[in-house]
Amino acid sequence: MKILLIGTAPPPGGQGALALAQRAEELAEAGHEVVTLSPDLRSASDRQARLEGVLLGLSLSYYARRFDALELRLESELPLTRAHERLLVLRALRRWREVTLRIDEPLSSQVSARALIDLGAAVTAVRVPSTAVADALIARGAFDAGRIVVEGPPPLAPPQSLLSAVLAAGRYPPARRALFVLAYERIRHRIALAVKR
Amino acid sequence: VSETAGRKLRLGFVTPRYGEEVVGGSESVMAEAARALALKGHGVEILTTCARSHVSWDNEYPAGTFVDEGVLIRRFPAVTGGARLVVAHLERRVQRGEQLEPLEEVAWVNGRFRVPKLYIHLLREAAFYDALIFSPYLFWTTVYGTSAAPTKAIVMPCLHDESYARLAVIAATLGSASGLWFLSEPEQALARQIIPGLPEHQDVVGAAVEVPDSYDPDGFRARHKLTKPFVLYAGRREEGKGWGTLLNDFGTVLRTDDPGLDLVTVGSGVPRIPPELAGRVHDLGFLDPEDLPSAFAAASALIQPSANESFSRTTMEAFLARTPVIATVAGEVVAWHLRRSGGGETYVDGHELSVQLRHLVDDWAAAAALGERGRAYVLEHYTWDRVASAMEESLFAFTSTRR
Repeated sequence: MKILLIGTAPPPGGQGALALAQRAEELAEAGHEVVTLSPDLRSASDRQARLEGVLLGLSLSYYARRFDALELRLESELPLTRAHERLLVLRALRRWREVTLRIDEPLSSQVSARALIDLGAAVTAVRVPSTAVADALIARGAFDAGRIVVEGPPPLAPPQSLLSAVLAAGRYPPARRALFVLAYERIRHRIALAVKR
Repeated sequence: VSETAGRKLRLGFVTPRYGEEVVGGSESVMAEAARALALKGHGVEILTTCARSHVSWDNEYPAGTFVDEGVLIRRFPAVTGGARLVVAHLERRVQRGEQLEPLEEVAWVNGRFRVPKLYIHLLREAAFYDALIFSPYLFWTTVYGTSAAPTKAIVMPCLHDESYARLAVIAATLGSASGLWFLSEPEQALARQIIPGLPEHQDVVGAAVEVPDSYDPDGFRARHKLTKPFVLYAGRREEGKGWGTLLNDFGTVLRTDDPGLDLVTVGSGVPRIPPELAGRVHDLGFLDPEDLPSAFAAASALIQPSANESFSRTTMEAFLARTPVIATVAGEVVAWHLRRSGGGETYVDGHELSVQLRHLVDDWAAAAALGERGRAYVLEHYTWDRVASAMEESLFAFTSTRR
């Protein structure tokens, strides 16, 4: 199968990102064609893409025709809080034949709970790192136990160093800066074309 | 050290490119060092990408595991693309010497090319290796590779005095590695000057070049239809290697006191030769590696216009062919080699280059003496037998503190 894994890949992203990388390796070793797509420009991922706002929903729709299955890591930055963004994501997820959610920790806010219930109807399976997270999700009523797979903690973990801190701190790019850069580059490109002419 | 001396080590050389067609000083040193240490009986792997070009990073070699000259080669596909505009914007800011935030520096390093499967391999398999050697400093393979296995990492930075060397992410990379290998003392001094908190395990191991069995200067001249005596430039035709400055300075030479020497250039990249120099500059493109030693032997001198050298293999190759080297004084490392060896002279600008070339033409005996001193210098310090032993000794010391 051709499988798309969406989520922050390491070095940033902590244990959840390492688990995502480990999962990509497992799937590749099982003979699948695996592509990782990260929203963080510092990730050692196959692809990178902006996923804020409506972009996540649009990306999911775009890739649905190009992949057989999706694993989506649920991250706090994903645009699931606003109703229209969540609706776009849910409609896009319905285009996929097989959708697995990766959830690293129980989400606590009410909006997230609502998002989880909505997502619960669209996904085939949920992968979590511990039984505690599985129990919390079941208690929320978003997923039944039969669809939850407990993975355990990721075995991969690089030793901490000054460099690992530099590679993993914060998140890049912040949305506003990326938009500024895109606008700046477009203006620059037009000026260069005008000068050339 | 005595406990580990004689032990067979498991070594991984992590380099952005590997292959016969790959041009690059650091890549050549890594490949040859790997083979030299394999010859000493160590288990050596080269971990690299499938790319041949350091511009496109297209995957031109197949991915997988191969054996080449006693060394296990593991090739992983390189990935490019993503936020190209953001990365191009960051690249321009780095080149202008602007200070980027650490987040931006990392995004820039990661945006040029990356090798996700190599990163995972290092995370999973680092414990298998006694040491992992990364080079050169500016590439994803070194920055991300060191972060995946800092306790096993020896970085051979091949450092130049340039804006890239002052990036915070480079300081963090060299500071987080467990060991450093330098190719020359000026390179080590530069690192100590601009990067605080370097690891204690540091060695100036140097690098080496293969000693050719023979040279064929007459055959080289005949094959390439070179009828006049010439000076040689060998290297990438890039501004970072002093290409443009060389052409300007050679133009000055011809205008002020033409010594009757042509300039022959060999190497990769696109040579843009000004029309006024067209009859006196002969570009031979990328030479067959077997033909290159004879190019050095056929030249009256090697011109080294690059200030960005951490070792300068071409200087050593010219010396071995008994050919003197005339180098820009701005290149501290080559100037250091020339001072130690007495195998050449330095110049400041086109006028001084003109004076040096005039000396060369007027006093062939003195020029031959320079060449002889150069060859003796390389044979004393920079053969693979000597350098591999220095690397091995450093590795035994490195691993003995980590057992």
